[in-house]
Amino acid sequence: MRDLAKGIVLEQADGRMALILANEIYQKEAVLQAAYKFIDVCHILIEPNGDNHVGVYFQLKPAARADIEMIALEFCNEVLDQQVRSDLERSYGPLRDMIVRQAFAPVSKPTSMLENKD
Amino acid sequence: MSAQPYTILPFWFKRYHGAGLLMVNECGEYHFIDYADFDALISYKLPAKSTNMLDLKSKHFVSGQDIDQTIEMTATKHRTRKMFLNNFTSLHMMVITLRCNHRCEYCQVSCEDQDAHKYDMSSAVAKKVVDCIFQSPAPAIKIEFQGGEPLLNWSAITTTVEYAETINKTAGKYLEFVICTNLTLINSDQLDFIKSHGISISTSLDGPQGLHDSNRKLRIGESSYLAFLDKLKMTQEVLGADRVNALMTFTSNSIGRVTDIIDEYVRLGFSGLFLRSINPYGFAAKNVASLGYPMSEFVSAYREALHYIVKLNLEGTRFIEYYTTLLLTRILTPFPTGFVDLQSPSGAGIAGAIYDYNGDVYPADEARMLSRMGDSKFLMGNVFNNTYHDIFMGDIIQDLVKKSCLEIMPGCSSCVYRPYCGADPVRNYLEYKDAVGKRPGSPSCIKHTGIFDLLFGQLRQNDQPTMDVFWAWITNREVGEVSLA
Repeated sequence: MRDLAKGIVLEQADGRMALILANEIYQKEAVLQAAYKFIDVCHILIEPNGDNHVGVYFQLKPAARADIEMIALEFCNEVLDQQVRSDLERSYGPLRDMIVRQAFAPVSKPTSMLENKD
Repeated sequence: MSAQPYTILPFWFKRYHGAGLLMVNECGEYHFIDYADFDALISYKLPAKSTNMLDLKSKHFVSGQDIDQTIEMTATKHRTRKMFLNNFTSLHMMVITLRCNHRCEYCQVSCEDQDAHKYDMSSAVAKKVVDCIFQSPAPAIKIEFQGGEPLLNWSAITTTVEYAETINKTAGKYLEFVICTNLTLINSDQLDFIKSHGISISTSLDGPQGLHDSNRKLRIGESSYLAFLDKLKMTQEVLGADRVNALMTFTSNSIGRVTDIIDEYVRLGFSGLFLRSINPYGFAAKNVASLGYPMSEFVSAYREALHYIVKLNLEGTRFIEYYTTLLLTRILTPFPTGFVDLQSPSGAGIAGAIYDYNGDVYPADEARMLSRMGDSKFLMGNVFNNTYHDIFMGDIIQDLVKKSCLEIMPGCSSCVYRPYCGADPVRNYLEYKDAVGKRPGSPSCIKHTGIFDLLFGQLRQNDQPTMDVFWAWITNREVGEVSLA
């Protein structure tokens, strides 16, 4: 159980920060997608942390003028967003694909209308 | 065989105004229910003969033994709601010129000076665009002339209309034209042409003189309102009032003025109003500090406007709020409403497309505006360099459509208003650099959930005179014709 008194970020040092995420909640794809969005301001390392967790380690780039803690907190929301997207893709991706196919069907068959007219 | 007395089909719900719940299902049916009956429903204890159970069955929230039939009917209704997908792009907007005699504070396209002729669409480009348009499989084609001020390049309009009509003699499509103009430059020769070709006019009016002039400025410094008024009268006399519609843009100057704005529209003979919030593109993006407002302000203004317009109708003045009519049609009927700006998937590219003065093609006007701001991410191609298939089946449009299905968008997927709402991937990209975007706190989400909350509040109240007005708008009849009283 996470200790709320310690906040979301578990480890912090000068310009460095660590988050520990549960594999049960967050999948690799969501973690990587979220991390990628921060590579302009941080160096990021992702590695297993025990059997059931993954550690995400942030270190500010030398030229970056940003608050490392704020970046880690934003990462938490981003990884949640990416996980929800991933879950929705799994649940409703096939439905979306059917809709998209239907949307482009008139152009996929450019001759059909002409045939109908004849 | 299920041990339960009935099967509950998928639905979404939200607690509504502290007085029960709103339930909505995949095919767009809705139902209000109190907490006790909702608990009974999900505990499989709702009595079979209760009013709620009968309603829920008829609206396909619940099925008895006839589950296959219920699913088939739900699927049919769902397909009907998505019928707008069947015809592909029917709205084709042509940027005839970027030149404009106005320099409006909120201009979304950063228009150019009146003498900057290099921003005119040439006849060659116009004809090539028409060739491209007629490759659309859509049986109905609407060509909308936009600007800048399109009347400044009148020859491109006449060329387009005559060329399109010639092609259509063989194509046999239902062909319409609309000129989006500030009207201030229109003359009698142009009106004769417009009338003889059955062209409609869409103009802009922001309200009474002071308000209109503060937003919409003539480059020569005179009152744009007085110039507009003079030409509006002339246009209505030649074409008839029903062929002239107006859009208003709600800015911070409009706050507290909605009844004045509506009164002005009624006074000038318009049959309705489309209350439109400001778009953060072009000059509007630069002037956001002076013209912008929190979206909650817009929702409040919309509430006040709707209340006032309904009152006008009940007092005998037929006047329509067009956005309300569109949304209520989606809520109260099974029929699709192809509104490019609020569809799932987005209508960008597959329902409407815009052709810039140089033949560049974008999925939406906002995408073109974004390009004017320096980001051409949504440029689909050019009518000279690319085939129709390249442009309308390319990666850009396919990606846009894939990313604008509410079914897979976080926040939207589980929203009770999903069957009635739509996505705006270009706006999402502008705000979040990501076409999927984020809903919590986004202006578009605040606007639409606010408006849907308001409309469903009205439906829950079910005040008969108000409902008569709504049905009169939806069915395009007089209030007296739909009244049961």
